[in-house]
Amino acid sequence: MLTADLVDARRRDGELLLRPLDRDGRVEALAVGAALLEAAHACVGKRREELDEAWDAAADGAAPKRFKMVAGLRKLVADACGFEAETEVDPIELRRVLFTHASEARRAREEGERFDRDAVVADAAKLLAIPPEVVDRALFSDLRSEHVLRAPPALDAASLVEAWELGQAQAVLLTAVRITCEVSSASPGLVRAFFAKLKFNKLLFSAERIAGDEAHGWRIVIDGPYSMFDAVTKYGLRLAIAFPALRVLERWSLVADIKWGKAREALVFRLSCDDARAPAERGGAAAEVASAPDAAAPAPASRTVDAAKTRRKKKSAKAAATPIPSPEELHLSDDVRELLDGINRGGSGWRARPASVLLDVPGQGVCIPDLELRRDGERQPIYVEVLGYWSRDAVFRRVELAERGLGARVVFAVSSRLRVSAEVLDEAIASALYVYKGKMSPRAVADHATRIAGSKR
Amino acid sequence: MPSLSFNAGTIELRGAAEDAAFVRDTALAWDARAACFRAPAIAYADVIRALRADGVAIDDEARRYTELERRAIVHREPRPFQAEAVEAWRRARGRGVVVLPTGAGKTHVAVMAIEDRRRSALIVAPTLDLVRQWYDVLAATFGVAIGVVGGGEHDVQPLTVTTYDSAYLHMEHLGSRFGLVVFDECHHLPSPTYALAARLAIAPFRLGLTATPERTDGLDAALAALVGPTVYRRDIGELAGEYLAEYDTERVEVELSPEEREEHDAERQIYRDFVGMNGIVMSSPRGFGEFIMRASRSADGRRAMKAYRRQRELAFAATAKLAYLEHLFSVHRHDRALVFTQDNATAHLVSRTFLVPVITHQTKVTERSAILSAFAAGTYGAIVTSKVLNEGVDVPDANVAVVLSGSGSVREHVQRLGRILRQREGKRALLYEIVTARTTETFTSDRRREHDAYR
Repeated sequence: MLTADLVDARRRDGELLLRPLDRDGRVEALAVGAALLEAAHACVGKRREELDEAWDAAADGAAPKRFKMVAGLRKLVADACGFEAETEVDPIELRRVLFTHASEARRAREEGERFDRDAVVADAAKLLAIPPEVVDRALFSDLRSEHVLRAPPALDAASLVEAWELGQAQAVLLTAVRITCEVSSASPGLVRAFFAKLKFNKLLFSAERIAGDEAHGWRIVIDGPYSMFDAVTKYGLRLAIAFPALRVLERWSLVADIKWGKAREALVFRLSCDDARAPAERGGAAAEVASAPDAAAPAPASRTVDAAKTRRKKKSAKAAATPIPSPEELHLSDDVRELLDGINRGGSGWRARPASVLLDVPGQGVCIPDLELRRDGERQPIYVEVLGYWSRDAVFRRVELAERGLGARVVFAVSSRLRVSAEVLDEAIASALYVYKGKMSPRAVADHATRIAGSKR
Repeated sequence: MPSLSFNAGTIELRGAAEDAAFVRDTALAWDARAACFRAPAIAYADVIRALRADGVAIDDEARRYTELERRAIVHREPRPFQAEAVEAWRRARGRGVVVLPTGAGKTHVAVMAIEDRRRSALIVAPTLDLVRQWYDVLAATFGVAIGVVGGGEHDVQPLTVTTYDSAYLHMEHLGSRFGLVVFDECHHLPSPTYALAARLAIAPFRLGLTATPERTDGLDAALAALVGPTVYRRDIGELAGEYLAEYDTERVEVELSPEEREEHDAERQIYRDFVGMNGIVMSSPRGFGEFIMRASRSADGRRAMKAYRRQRELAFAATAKLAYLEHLFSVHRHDRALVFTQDNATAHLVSRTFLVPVITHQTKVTERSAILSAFAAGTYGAIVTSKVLNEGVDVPDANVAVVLSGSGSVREHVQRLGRILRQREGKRALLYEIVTARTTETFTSDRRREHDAYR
């Protein structure tokens, strides 16, 4: 991931604006990316220091105004490289033997007697049964600067530039204190995956339907519990990690309150699907630019506009064709995966699979079940939402939602560490609160499901 | 009855009406998202006191810390100033900062404070080396299992040690489990991120320990809110001789060789020309950042950066400096010497040249421990380090410090001196500062010596 200091952006009227790549910029980015990758491939077996020099040379011709882009691409290439220490001898053991011997030799000499480094090295080499020249070579071979490039990056220039564009937005979000986003998608699975990602990252959010787009649109405010008292960037990393799940939605926009730079200046950062094109299409555009016969020449303004229009047309076609990921593709945390497997192995008659619905109580909020349980003869599924170590707040909100009518039967699984009693959920409601200690029991969840299914409510 | 609970670094009051009058004088604010009153965890003690004063009964589920079951099994007679410090802290309701010079026994002050309050306690230290050191002291003093959070471990016990980084990451989960938090080297605490570690904890009792509370950014003023006021302070001059080793400081100026001087001046000129041409004011707070930014934009800039680095390198590791260091190694070959450098490259150069062990931030914990143990045992007579041994780490046997290069920070210099001041019978500590004449080092040296300890 890029860091905030590598973001190519400018401030204007209280906003932080990313500098998008224009046609020339994209050509240059692809050229620099290719040169950096090529240098890395040519430096396999060489030390990091030599690789740094090769990268300096590779980026030498880049336009000065693009220095942040160059630095960002370089970081991403470096992150994708595999380095290793040369391991002909254990450097820690070598240092122990050498320095111990040197200390003894220094103490044993007379006042004014010269410290004979070469003799000490030769003696230590003898003790270690290695040639003296290996001692000097291997002395600090475990240091980062001495590491040798073993595996060059396995990506091409187009995907590197694509990763840089995503990384730019993510790096800004690292400094975010709160995000408000509006999303719209005809694919419930994608929206659900986004909510699941927020939940997985233990972010708090409030969600409501967007007036005029009740069928598919959501307005979501995302932050953390402490955000009420202070604009903290503590949740920035989690917000950045959740961003790719937002980007795959058909329509989305976000407004982030950020604290920018060393001075932590309060700014606003806006981004939408109109600014950031879909990843697959970006690859296409990159290929188009790279393969254009006049790729290196500046494009006429009218052509740029036409190209943008074409891209927008392509994008809408692309959006309509976005495949809905199967429920199995949705992200499951380890404990939920374990519960799912346990229920399917347990012989309770219930079959579990990842849920793909959102349960919405208009004006009140949304519940995002993790699992869907079905069994023969049961027409409606029972859902399981794992609240785990979330907050007591979240539990009480779910209780309120259930009381107001979720339109589905749900087992809410809550850790006993939240100190919530199962009784807070009225028995007259077709849902259950399962309070567990330590680890969730698949059998207990199945029992709760059976109880709810068997009730006449 | 309203109930108070801890939730992710905040306290929630439930079961009270939105217009309840009794919350008026507290930090509690209505949170419409959750239909409850909420306050940052740090306000816990004030909220409890205010509600009690108003006769409001509450069910306190927030407090999840306990009284310590076992008292200390090792009792050391405190030095008078240690007893005075704990008494001053107690008078301040168990909230405050104690300022004592390195080597004066701040750890014992903390042990006395834990013994005095007998509450579950969390010790927050800046490095894993210090975590290991606190772990050893607490385990030996209290004879119970000590928890560690950080460095790949997550074991929470009534007495637990952690780093500032881990405290920032985990306090939203741990914040209700300790009645006392000790912030070691608490001058680190007021940074925007670390400060959250203090704000997300309910601990009514807080103790800050430092030799140098002052920060150049002025944020030390925040310590009063995060920990408490400075309740006790003694400086090096007041304790030297009786409780700290007597010491001498010696500044040695060396000259660059003619070749080094020529190269130094030429490189410096390249760097100065670039700075001048770009209108960069290096003395301004943003100067260096601007230089880095502009230097990365062009080949000339990259050359200027290279020149900047080279002229520093020449000053940091001048041939005459290394020759004098060899002389000091010879003179003090039966002593225990710590050599401090400004950067890792010089530390590695010294290590490679003189074959002495080196500790930098890249040194793995196991190797660091082995080096420090061997130094304590006398196997090694010297260690070279960049900055990681500047503060806290206990190297009681060290009696010679050589500052080969450093920053202009008074705090850093005082901390480095402190490494050799732990008292031993007949010990007289010596601090050498080797400075390359007619380079920026002389100015840097003057700045860092602006402390009573060097007058």
